[in-house]
Amino acid sequence: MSQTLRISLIVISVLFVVLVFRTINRRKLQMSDSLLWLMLSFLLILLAFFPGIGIFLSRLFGIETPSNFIYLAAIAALLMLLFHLTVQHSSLKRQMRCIIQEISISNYLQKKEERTLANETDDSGV
Amino acid sequence: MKVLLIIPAYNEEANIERVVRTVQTFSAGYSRHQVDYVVINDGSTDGTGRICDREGFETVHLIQNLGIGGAVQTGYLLAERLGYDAAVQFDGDGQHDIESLDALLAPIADGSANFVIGSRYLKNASAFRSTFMRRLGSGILASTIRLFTGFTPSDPTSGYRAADRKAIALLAGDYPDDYPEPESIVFLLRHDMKIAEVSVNMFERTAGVSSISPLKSVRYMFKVSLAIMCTSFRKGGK
Repeated sequence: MSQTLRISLIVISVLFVVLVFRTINRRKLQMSDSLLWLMLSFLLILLAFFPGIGIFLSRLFGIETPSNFIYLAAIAALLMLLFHLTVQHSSLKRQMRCIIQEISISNYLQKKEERTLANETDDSGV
Repeated sequence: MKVLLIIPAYNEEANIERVVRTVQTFSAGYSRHQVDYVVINDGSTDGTGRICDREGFETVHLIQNLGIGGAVQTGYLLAERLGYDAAVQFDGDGQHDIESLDALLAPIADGSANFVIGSRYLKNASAFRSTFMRRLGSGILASTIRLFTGFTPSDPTSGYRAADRKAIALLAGDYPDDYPEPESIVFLLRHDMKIAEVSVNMFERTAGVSSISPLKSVRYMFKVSLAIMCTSFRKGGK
């Protein structure tokens, strides 16, 4: 792994950890949603400080240079994250649909009841 | 039987009043079943909602646009909650002929089916003249459904359909989103629902635009075929 790649990896990974922590502390990211990002950023730091891990793993998988291994790992991690996000997005959509239907139906039933009550008072008044 | 007519309407200000009036007139003169209706105003941006309120139509105003699937499901939820014996999907654009309702309800009334599809192509009884492309699309969908379920619907995209209590409960719990008709047929079959088809009359649209433009139809076919596949691999209710 070249010195330049190492240094940029160190800088990026440290900045990334800082960013993740700051966002959690500002309550913009829930702890439960941040675990994946925390793990990812620690992995990045580990790789940046101990490039031996990257070299070992790239040999293990038969990848020519450690930098290629890092790219591959990064893409795999992003794919996983994106998939995870899509799953969450789907479940949010379903929940949203349910809430919209529930509110709309109870609005309707409430109005209907008010109308029936109003009619009854009218009838008794006449 | 107590029957709820679910009328989904999205930007149908040109049609909705006439459609609901037709339904009201029909149910007033129809004695075999008690037919109620509810308009599901799917977050229309035109005057649909105002017209329904002005005329005092039974209307659920969805507070956000949900698309046809979510709108129809709202109707099934309501039918389930209010304890209706049957629910019928009836388009808000005036395509469906209310005079066919009796035929559509017959298999549910005598208990021979859980779900009835009103078909344009069963006999040549319908005034609906279909284009070649429409028939081709229908044919491809029908073969896909047959491939995965063994059942061949003659009109897989028909939106004129009736459900009994069991089917209402199923569809209230889970209804597909985008182009729901063919997919929900497979879903119901997976849950061992008995499906019947009856010949119904449909009209050409009198106003407004159809939700499916020819440009979108290729995408439609692709998505629906995939959805049919996925649904048929899903575990049923056994």
